[in-house]
Amino acid sequence: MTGAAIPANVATADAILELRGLHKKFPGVVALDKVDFDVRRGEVHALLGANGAGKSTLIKIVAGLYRADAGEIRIDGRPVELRDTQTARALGVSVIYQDLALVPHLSVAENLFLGHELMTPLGLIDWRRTHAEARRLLAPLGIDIPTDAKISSLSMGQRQLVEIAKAFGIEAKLLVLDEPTASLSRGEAESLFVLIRKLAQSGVGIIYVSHRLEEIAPLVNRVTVLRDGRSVGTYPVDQLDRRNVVALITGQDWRSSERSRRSARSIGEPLLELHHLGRAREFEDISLTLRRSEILVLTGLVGAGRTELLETIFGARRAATGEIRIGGKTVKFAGPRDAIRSGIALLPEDRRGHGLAVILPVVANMTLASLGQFVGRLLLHPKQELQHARRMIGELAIKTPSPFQAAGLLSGGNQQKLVLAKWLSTSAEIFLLDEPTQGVDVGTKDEIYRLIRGLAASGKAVLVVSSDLEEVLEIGDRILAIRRGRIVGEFRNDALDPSLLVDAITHGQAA
Amino acid sequence: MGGQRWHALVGRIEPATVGPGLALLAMIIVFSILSPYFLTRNNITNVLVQSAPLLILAAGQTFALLMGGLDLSQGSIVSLVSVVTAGVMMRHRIVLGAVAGLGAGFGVSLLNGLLIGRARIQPFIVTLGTLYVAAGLAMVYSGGSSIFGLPKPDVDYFFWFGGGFIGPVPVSVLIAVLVIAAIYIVLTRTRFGRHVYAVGGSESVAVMSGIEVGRVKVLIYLVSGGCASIAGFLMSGRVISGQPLLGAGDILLQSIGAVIIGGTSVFGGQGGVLRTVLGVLVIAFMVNGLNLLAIDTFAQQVIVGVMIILSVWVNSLRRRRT
Repeated sequence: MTGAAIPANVATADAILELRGLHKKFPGVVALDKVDFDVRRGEVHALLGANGAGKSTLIKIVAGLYRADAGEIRIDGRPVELRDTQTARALGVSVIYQDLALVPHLSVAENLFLGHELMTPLGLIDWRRTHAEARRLLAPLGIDIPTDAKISSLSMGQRQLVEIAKAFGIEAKLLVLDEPTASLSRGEAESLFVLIRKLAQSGVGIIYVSHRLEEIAPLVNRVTVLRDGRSVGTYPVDQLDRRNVVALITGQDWRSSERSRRSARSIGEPLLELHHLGRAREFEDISLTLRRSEILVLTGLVGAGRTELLETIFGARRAATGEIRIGGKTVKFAGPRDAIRSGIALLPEDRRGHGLAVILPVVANMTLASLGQFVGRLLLHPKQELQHARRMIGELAIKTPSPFQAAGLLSGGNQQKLVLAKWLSTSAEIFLLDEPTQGVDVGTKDEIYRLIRGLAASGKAVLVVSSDLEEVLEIGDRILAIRRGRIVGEFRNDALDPSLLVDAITHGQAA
Repeated sequence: MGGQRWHALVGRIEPATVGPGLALLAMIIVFSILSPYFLTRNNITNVLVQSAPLLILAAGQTFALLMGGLDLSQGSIVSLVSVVTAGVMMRHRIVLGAVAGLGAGFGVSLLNGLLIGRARIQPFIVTLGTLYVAAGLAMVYSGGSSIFGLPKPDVDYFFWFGGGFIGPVPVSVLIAVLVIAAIYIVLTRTRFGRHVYAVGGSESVAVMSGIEVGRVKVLIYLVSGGCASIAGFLMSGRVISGQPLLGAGDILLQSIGAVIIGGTSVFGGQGGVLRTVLGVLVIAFMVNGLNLLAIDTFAQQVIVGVMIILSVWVNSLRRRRT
């Protein structure tokens, strides 16, 4: 597997892309802090980092979606201004996101030439030439897909390949791949790697965003690690092993650190039990017990079936097999409403899609799941509701100019605290928290950890899903590793060697 | 102060209401200068009586738009209520007539609600369908012709609802005010009202917060169609007959237009019934003023159309800024 096709001249090849002192601030968060980064011709350069480290901000700046507040961007040695995505494209930058930009109901060929269709002299689409050109594009890349196949009929891996071919069709010099293997099978990933090597050999520079070094080690030439918006260094890949990558990503040497903040909570009786829970293609045979005063963390890669599992417990999806017990009794939920009545709260991963109605005021969001408390014989008591909102805003230190501010105008961290406040307003006993600190600044992260510990201390049961290793080790009493929808390891969080956890998550080897 | 700010959630004086508010004020000033008759009690009473049914229709329509939907069947419900009420009244007096007429209107509303809330078909499609169904039923029931010659004394009671007075107060205006007051309380002070905003704000968030979205939608279309039924009853009483084409004019489009001009968002989640009242008054006084100035009705239509687009455009500019 080693011995990647690294052109001999890579080390001296001139840079396609250079970023110097790149700086980007969002309200409340410094997303990128004086980051230097470069990609050379024919090189695959991995960009690693935890969630919120600044990877996606960096690639969005390169794509022309965001503009940096400060810093210089050079392409082929010339300073450029990436005003928008068209400018970036015209300069040869092509970005392939996780959610692909293909039209599902159109054919492969149609997608390849979308926006620059090949025309006959009469101004109609020249289908013969379109398919011929499409085949000419796919063949040298070794992609064997009929050009008239509908995108919707292709596997995720095949779609990924088509997307890359499309980028190649517009003569990209720099290709950015954002976690391209997240939803691919092993075989599909292999054919993707073959294609990436081919592209690199032809002189394209490639930025490969990932958080799994093992997988990409044979593929990449250099690695840059981002942490909390800063670059912590660029290394030739052969100078790194998994252990120092984990240390670089998390910023802590776990062997020497002591996690002393864990208080001696006494864990109580089981509140939530899952028995062989399964759903087709999402997760299978999940059994776990969550106890009062316990923080149980479920960790695994994105796409491992974690969100789906939480939504199933919450009644938003129906389990195909197995059963859910609450306080020892088997339950069947018709919807989230039933789950909430049984004392379950879900802090969703998709905050703006499932957590907050962004155009509604803070106060209306706060009481959305607990409105019944504020109803008298017939009517709502706005004063009580407002009082409650003011109290929660104070207790959770939610920064908002007023309780009537639209929720969408708060910063990410404050939005997350608002969703938490919404569930703290209910009488929930079981808290399901899906990536509770995603897109949240470092300061607010600590506050959220304190809230989570407070929940456990007050006798609630907390099930956290997280892919942030630092977070997993910080808050979990017990840790379950999930991979491809199955639990592959259980760890007690004392003197736990993080590399065992990483192994379980990425390779499915239980400790 | 807190209580006052609270009302702000739905009916506050905020940028969205400044536009129609200023438009109304400007119109009143301009028309009262141009026409000495404009600001007389007679004229204002007249405008209010004429716009009472529209007030009720648009108040109901507000629910549908707040949810992010719309109700195209309101006009046809007006027609259906009119002929059924009059037809039954011919043989069975006014009480049964009212029950049957309003019942028919509620029936169509319930059908809307169930198809949208339970069968989960888009509101546009469902109400486009029931627009035809109810209009067709009105024609079938009446044989396509108006129902005149309602029996005494019922016909006088019937007229009382649409065109009568209690002292100086027109009955239809009084009913409109009561309906609007009830709706205002429902939207600002009940769980159902809050759920309407929640579903319009984000349906998936509403589901994940334990709100029974399907039930909320059924109720929304019951309110919208229920308001149309009441409006149909009043309009029918005013013309003391059953008219199969009573709601076939532009009253439906005025109803939707008034809600939009008032500043309720077509994407749902933002707005309120007081804004709709403002929107109705803008349309009503403008039409009246232009009539007094002898500007023809076709030019009026152009102006209403421009105002609808303008108000949405202004709102979308505000939206983009945030």
